[in-house]
This record gives sequence, C-alpha cells and structure tokens, in this order.
Amino acid sequence: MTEATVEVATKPRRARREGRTAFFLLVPAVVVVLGVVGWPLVTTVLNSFRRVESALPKAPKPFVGLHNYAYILSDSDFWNAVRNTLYFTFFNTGLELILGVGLGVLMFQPMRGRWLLRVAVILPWALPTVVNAAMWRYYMNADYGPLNAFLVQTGLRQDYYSFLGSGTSAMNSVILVDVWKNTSLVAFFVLAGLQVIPKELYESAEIDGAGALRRFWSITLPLLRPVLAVVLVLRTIEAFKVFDVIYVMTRGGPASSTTSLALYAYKTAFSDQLFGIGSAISLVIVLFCLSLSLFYIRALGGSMGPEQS
Amino acid sequence: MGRFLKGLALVVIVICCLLPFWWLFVVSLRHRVDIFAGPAAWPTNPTTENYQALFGQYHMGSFLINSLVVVSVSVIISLLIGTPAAYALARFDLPGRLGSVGLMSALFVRMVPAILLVVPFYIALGRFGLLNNRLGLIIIYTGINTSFVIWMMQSFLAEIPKEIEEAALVDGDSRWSAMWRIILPLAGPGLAATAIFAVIATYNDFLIALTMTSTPKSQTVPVGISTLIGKIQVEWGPMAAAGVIGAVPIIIFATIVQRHFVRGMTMGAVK
Repeated sequence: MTEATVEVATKPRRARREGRTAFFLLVPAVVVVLGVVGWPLVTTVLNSFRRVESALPKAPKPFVGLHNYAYILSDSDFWNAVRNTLYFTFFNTGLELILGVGLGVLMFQPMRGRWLLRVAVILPWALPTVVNAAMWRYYMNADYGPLNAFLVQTGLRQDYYSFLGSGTSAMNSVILVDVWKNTSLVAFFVLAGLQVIPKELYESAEIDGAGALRRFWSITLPLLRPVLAVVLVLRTIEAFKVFDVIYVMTRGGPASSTTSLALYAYKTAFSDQLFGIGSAISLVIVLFCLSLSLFYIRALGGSMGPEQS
Repeated sequence: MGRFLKGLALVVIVICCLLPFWWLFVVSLRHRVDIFAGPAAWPTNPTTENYQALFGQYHMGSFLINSLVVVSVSVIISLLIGTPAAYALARFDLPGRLGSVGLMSALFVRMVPAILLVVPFYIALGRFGLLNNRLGLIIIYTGINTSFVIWMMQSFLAEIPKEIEEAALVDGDSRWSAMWRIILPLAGPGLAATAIFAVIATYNDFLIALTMTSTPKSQTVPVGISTLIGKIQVEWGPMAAAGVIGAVPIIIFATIVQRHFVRGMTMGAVK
C-alpha cells in the first residue's frame, strides 16, 4: 500500500504479526461471503447444465450439457422477456438520468425550502418497492383509481383509462412508477457530484459572458461525467434485474407483456419447478449486466472503485 | 433559472413525491364501500377498521417483528464481520493481488441478481429445515450485507490518514487497540452510512423473502403486503394501512440518521 505502512512494518516480527492479524480479520468475512454468495453462485452455474426438477436434496440431477441454454434460446417466452427487459431498462434508465440531472441541479440551488425538497425526494426511494408499487396499482385502477379521477376532473382525459389493461400501456406505467421511485437516487448522485465542482469555474465563465445553459453544457455536464457513469451503471444493472415493481403491479401481464427476465426466471424455477432452466436464465441476466457495465465503463471512462482517488 | 421557476419546480416536485403517500394515508382511513365509490382528498368519515383488520386477520404484527428481527440481526452481524475485513483490505499489504481481488469480488456480489441466488438458497435451506424460518433469512442477508459492508467500509477507512494510526503504533499500541481506540471513532459516519444502506436494502428486499418464506410465522413486511394482493381481489383498505405501517420504520430510521443519508446513498462515486 503506501510507504508509511511499509516503514512501520520493517521489523520481520512485526510483519509476521501483521500478517496473522490480517488473516484473522479477513477469515470470518471470507467464510460468510463465500458460503452465502460464492457457493450458491457456483451451484447455479452447475445447475444450469443439469436437469433439476425438484428442490428435494436427494432428487436426481442428470447432466444435460447445454440443453437448458438451447431450450431458452428457442423459447419465444425468453425472447419476449429479453425484449421487455431491454425496453424497460432503456426507457427507465434514460428517463431517470434526464430527470435526475435536473432534480439534482435543482436540489443544489440555494433557495428557501431546499431541505424540504431533499427530504421529500428521499421518501419514494427509501420506502419498499412493494409499498410503492401496490399504491400505484391502486391509483391506476381503471374503475376507481384516484389518478383517473384526477385526470378526468382536471379535464386532461374524458373517461377513465385502464393503465394496466393493455400491453404497451402497462409496460409504460410500470416504467413510470419505477422512474418515480428511483430518480431520487440519480439526483442524489448528481447533487454529490455538483458539490465537488469548484465554484471558481462558474464565476470565471460568468465573467467571460457564458449564459446559464452554456455553463451547464460546458462545465456541469463534463465534470459530472464520472458520477453519471457510475450511476448509469448502477441503475442499468438494477433496471435489468427488475422484479418487485412488475410482480406487484402486473404479475408480468397482461399476457406476458410486462414479464421481465427476472420474473421469467422466477416463474420458470418456482412455478414450473424447472430449476435448471431457471438457473440458466438467471446466468443470462448476469452476463448481460456484466457486459453492459463493461461497455459503459469503457465508453464513459468512469471508474467504479475506491481506487480512483 | 428565475427564482419563481425554481420555486414552482420545488413545489411541484415536493407534491409529486408526497401527495401519493398522503392519498395512501387517506385510503387507509376509509371504509371499504367508500374506497370503491371513488377517491377523496381528505379522510371524511374516518375509520380504523383497516388497521384492525391488518393487525388482526392479516398478521401485520408478525410481519413487522419478523422484519425488525431479520434486518437488525443481519445488519449488526455484517458490520461486525465486514468492518474488520474492510480494515485489513484498507491497511495491510496483502500478498499478491489479494487486496484488489477481495474488493472486486465484494463489488461483483452487488451485481449478482437475487434471482440467481434464490434457487440454491431454496434447496439448501430446505435441506437444513430452514425454509420459512427467520434464521434462514438472517443467514442469507448476513452474507449479502457483509460483502456490501466490506466494499463501503474499505473506502471510508482508506480515507482516514494512516499517520494518525501510525503515531499510536509507534507509541507501542497494538494493531487491535489502534483499530478500536483510534480508527473506529473516526469511521463513525462511514459506519452510519453503511448501516443505513444495508438496513434499507434488507428491509425492502422482496424476492429473497418471497421465495424463502410462506407463512406469517416468518414473512417480512414487503412479502406480507404482497399477500394482500389476491389473484382476483385486492384488499385496498388493509393494503393502504399496511403501506402506511410498513413505511413507519423507514421514516423513523431515516429521520434519525438523516445527516448521513446523502453520503450513504452516493458512497464511492464522489470523493
């Protein structure tokens, strides 16, 4: 690590003792993480090459090679879920990024009531997705939903609309609810990023006669790039794994039009008891997430680690 | 942006964030027939029947207790196990590339979707008789949270200047006492931020709890709320009440630790 540590540790006895201490500090965590996350991960990889149709420990698990993968690749439900997930991820992350930058900039402005804004914005993010989703499912109800009543009373719509009744509309509604919840996270990243941009930059730009919009394009956005890269990766991964909001609002319907990959994997594994195929689907999700993150990190040049400092 | 526009944007956003929750509260106080009749902005003719039903026939009390037990035990154990490991990664010269390998794997865990873990969890917990059991959930959450604690605490601890500690080491303190006496108090805000994130993520988790539990004996708040959404009919009144009650622990918690919130949400992204 740094020179200072090495200096202190020059005496061999000290070094040996340090090694032992480090070992004792690390072992419990390594055991727990490997046991609870590493081991299931390996099991899932193995299961994806086996036919597993029962959760009972003694059940036979014959090796079937790439059969599970071949099965999902030829399954139209899988491709439907891929399309839905990509659509969800793209519009969800895109909207959150655009709105989140705006909201973050607003939260950064010195003004009265800023604390209220910051507190209010945390709530949708902090509360369980299940609560949010159930709540919006009620608001969007076609017969007695308050959102419909609101739209009709304000004259924005003539009649009650079944938000979750048809495929595209249901998908867009689910996306909006998730945007409503997660834009806060993007905004807080942006806020944190804005706080470290030197004020002098803006002052000299103002002296040079740059307008507010120009300052935003030429100073704020470029300097926010590393933060945006990180939050984009985080949100893309989360959106790609979407499960809760869809499960509660639509259960993947109507007619599988909102079934995401995670929901498809869940149904395959737990409703159809096809654990091998379910494992293969969830590995596909991980591969997608990994390649998307690598792509972003390359493209945007942000770094994800504490090492960046 | 003009002052007026800013103020307007602020008001609109605050309303967008808070009004849905106000409505939720209003619905939770309304009679069943009133709910189906149409929305109201104010709880006219309020009733506590939804709350009574929620804690009576819908077992909200056990959902709350299950969540509180599972969240607090798993987060505390994760902090106790993860923080020393983070300290070792931040301070010691580990052989080979062990340090960065450890960190990268801790980060990788964040990428792994819960859906990937639930099948093996389900099979393993079934083997040990821990399905539909709080202990089963605690074990799983502890593992997931520990990797998260390592990741976050490592970057907090790395920020604390080594000189402070070295002064103590030169004075003859052992690593252990330096860690306890000097580092831990300085890492306080970091610990708070880490705990906040872990508590919220664990309390809000749905997929793992949904697959590992099946009765109110061990179902957590989110799973309990989802059981109020039937295949045909949704119990809106009790569900709204459940939403209100389910939000209370997080609101109390968020108010107490509000100072550390922004830090916790954005840790690692900004220095």
